[in-house]
Amino acid sequence: MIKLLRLLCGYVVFEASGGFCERFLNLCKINNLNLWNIKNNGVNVVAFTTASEFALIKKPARNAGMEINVVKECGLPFFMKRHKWRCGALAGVFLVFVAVWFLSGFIWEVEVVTDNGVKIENFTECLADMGVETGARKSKIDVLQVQESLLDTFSELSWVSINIFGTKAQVEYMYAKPQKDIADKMNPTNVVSSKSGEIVLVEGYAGKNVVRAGDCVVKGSLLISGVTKNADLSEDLVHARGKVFAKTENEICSITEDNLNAFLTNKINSVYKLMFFGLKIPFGKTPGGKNITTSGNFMLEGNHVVLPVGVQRVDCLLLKRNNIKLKEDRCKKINLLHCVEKKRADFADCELQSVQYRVEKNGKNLKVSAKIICVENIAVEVPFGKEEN
Amino acid sequence: MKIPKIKRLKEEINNSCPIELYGNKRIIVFDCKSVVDYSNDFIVLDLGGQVLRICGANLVADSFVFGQTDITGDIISLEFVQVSV
Repeated sequence: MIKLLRLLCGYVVFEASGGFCERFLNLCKINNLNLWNIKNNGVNVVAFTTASEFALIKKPARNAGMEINVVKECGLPFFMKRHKWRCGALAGVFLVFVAVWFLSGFIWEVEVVTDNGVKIENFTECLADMGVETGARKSKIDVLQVQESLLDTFSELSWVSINIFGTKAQVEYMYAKPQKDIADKMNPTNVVSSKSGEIVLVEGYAGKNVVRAGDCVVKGSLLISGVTKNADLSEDLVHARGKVFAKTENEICSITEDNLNAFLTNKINSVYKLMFFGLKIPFGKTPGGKNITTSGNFMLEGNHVVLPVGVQRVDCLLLKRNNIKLKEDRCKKINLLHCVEKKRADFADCELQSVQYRVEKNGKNLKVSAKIICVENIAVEVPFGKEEN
Repeated sequence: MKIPKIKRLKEEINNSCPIELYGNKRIIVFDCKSVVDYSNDFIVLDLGGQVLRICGANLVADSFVFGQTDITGDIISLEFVQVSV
């Protein structure tokens, strides 16, 4: 520690020759001049002293009849004096400190952490819209407001936290556990039909069954009543519940034109961009027109820390508009595919009894319709006083 | 009668200079008044009433300020020389 202080303040190694060295040492002691590493090699005395006290040594040396010669000057003051004309170097050192101080006020890495490892799509883009992105100024980020906005935007999240460690922003979030729907069993309701059909099976859990198997009903018909009569002829209002299965007839269709206006892929163009502390310097022009672009970032990493310097590659898949005339077979296949997909989605919980496809051609359009007969639950709970339209 | 004896003892203790010797490599002398003689092989210090002669080889005074003298080197002998007034 003392050595470091002496280096910072500067010290001088000198040799004193001739005269009386004992008197010289005594005079230095009397004048409180700090000397150390005093060696007498028989010819002269070599000693160390501080830079500030060296100027005061001359008088005791003169009084003792000794001649002082400087052997070495060490320390920061002498270094600065030797290089005082190197303004550029000093300015460079100063600029480095200023640059480090300035750049440390920005965010250079955004890390997203989830509890189950599954990340939300477009989360990073949403964060960037709210101001949390590489190159953003730390002082301009309102963490509490961003957290609230994220919770409002993504309803599947139960908790979000944003922590800023130096130049890294760490965003953690947890998914909300889905709540089970609590059935309302208090308010009085009726059970009515959602579609027209022939009743196959009635399962009434509460209320009075109005229909039975074999009955035909139309949409909106009362199936299970919420009004029950007691033995003493009084009436109670209950929450009617149950399932009523009926054979229903449904139709789905799909229409396609034979003249299709589509895009064909032409070729791929790659454009490289140099990313430097938020700046993107492109080496090339992104082609205009309709195209599909994908990009990948290759950033420098040091000790598991992603640095804000790297290269971004943008691949553009160029598309060319073209008119395609579809043959009748192709149109038919496309429509059939649409119908099948729709059937699978809409009638997943139903028992299909028959499916009949019909093809109709009307000028340029080709229509494929499917008639589906299935058995499904048509019961719907409706509160009293609210009629289904 | 005891009080003057204690006073005399205190005076004797206060008048002597503390010396710390670390083997034969280092010696620290407190309340050293001045340097009488200085050489690579011996250093003679005035302790005020007594003179201490330190003989050895490669003797270096590491510190010589505020009445404390720190001498390092290969110390061979210490001599106390009485100064007659």
